Formats: sequence, structure tokens, C-alpha cells
Amino acid sequence: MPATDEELMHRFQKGDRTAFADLVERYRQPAVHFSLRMLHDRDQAEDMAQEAFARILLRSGGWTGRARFTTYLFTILKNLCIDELRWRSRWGHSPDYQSLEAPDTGSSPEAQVVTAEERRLVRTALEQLSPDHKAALLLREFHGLSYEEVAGVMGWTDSKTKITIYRARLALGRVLQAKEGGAADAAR
Amino acid sequence: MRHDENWELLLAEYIDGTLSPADLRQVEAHLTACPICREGLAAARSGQATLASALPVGAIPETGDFLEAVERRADRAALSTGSPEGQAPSWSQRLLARLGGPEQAAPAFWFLLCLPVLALAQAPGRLLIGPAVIALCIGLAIEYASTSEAVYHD
Repeated sequence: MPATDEELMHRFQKGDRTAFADLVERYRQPAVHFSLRMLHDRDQAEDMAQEAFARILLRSGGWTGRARFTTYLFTILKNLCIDELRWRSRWGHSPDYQSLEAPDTGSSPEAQVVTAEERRLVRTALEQLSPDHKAALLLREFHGLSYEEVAGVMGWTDSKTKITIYRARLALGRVLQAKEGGAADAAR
Repeated sequence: MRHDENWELLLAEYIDGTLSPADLRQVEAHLTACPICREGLAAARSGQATLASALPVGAIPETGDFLEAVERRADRAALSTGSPEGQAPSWSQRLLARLGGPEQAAPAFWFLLCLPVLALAQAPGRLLIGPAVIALCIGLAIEYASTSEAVYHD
């Protein structure tokens, strides 16, 4: 049975660098994916993931074992991405969705019925969320973190986390409903 | 807590299918009676379903040097934020780390060192003495930082 993340972290804290390498191998992809969805820039996403792991490497004692390793990793990553988004908003940088690959429409029936226009609308609505609300939503929807874990990453209460994620989903859905309403009006 | 927030809490988990049987019955009974929550739930489900395909990311190609890049970053960060043991770096060490480490800083050091000499050679007037001295000081600071690198490495 493979070692758990927490076992690897304990081994790393005792000086085992191969345990750290295993953690990097295990979480490189999720870390880059999270950053990519936050920032829409492949090179920067890779940079952010490297920076997060570098901080863990540098301060191995920062993880006390109270939280899961994923909570620790995503907390660092979320802070890095939010800082970057704030810097961008200060300088008027707009997201570039070209960095995201074309969807794999064969993966699920839902994906096949979602049009390019709907994707564009949802992305626009997503950018209107605050960076921390967006981070919370992504962690829940794409990285399988429980509400309690998302709350740990964001430093929120469980209630605030659930309500924020529900409202973020609602905001995205309302944009689609408005579009459908507009199309129905136009057809009349 | 307001009516909306109370139900939003439960609806968040209803969407994920993580409600207890008792809460599930309570929510379903409420949904039959409350058009606002029913409509909100439909919108939230639609938003959630579209989100998955709105932000697709493919597999990140294996670059092979990811771990090495992480270790290089950690080394540079150790220079800029102090040793893991907590020893704070001087401003010149932070400057050196910003420049990318002693190896990358060497050309900048030599350039800055040559600048005042060139300035004095071309125009020995008084106006250039001030900037020349400042450039020399910066060069010496970088030189100092590069020689004290050993403090931060095993």
C-alpha cells in the first residue's frame, strides 16, 4: 500500500528527500491545474506550483500535522495565485483563455451539450467572482476537497464556505439562464 | 441566520449528495413548497455542470526537471529570506538572490565595477563623480553578498 501524504511529510520532516520527491510527483499535476484555472497562463501556473513546493521544501516545519497535506499545499498555492490576480487587477491585465486547451467533448454527455458560447459566458461570470470565491469554487469542483478542507484552505467557517460555493454556482447558473431567456425573447 | 442562508447551507450539500437522510427529507419537502429555492437550485446545478467544461485543462506534460526547478527556487529563496535556521539575510544578500544568485550576478557585478572607471576615464568632470561612487558601492555590495553565500548552504 502506498504511503499516505501525511506519512511522506513526516518522513520528509525527518530528512528524507525522496519522500518530498514523491509528494511533488503526486501533486505536481493538481497544483499546476489549480494555478492554470486560476491564472489562465501555463508558464505562470508552472511557476506558481514550483514556488509552492519550494516553500514547503524550505519550511518543512511549517506543516504541523494538524491539517492534511493537501490543505497545506493548496493554502500556499491559493495565496500565491490570489496575490498574482490582485497584482494583475492593479495593472489591468485581462485573462487569456487561449492557454486552456480545447475541451475533450468525448469525455461526458454534459460536455457535449455545452456550447462554446455557454463556456464563454461561464468564464466571464467566473472572472467576476472575487479571487478567493473563485479559489474556493475550484477547490471544491475540480480538486475534490471537502467543504471542511476548503474552509481550512480559505480560513473560513464551514458555513461560510458552503454558502459561498453555493452562491458561486448560482451566479454561474444565472448567467446561463439569462442567456437562455434572451434567446427565447429573440425567438418570439 | 436568514431564511435564504439557512437553505443555501443545505442546498450546497444537496447538490453534492452529502446530506443526511433527515436533512434530505427536510430539503425535499421545502423544495416542493418554495419556488425561490427550487429555481435557485436549478440555476446552481446548471452553473456547476457548465463549469466543468468551461475550464478544461489537459494533462500537463512531464518536463522532467520540475523537481530540480523546485530545489533551485528553494535555494534562491533561502538566500532571499534567510537560512532555514532563521538567520535573516542582509539587504545585499536579498539583492543577490533577486539577481538570481552569485553566478547570475557576476556579469552585473563586473559591469557596475567597470562603470565608474569608464566614467572617470571619459569625463573626469565633477558631475560624474557622484554616480560613479554610487555604482562602485553597489558593485562592492554585490561582491560582498556573493562571498558570503556559504553562510546559507550546508
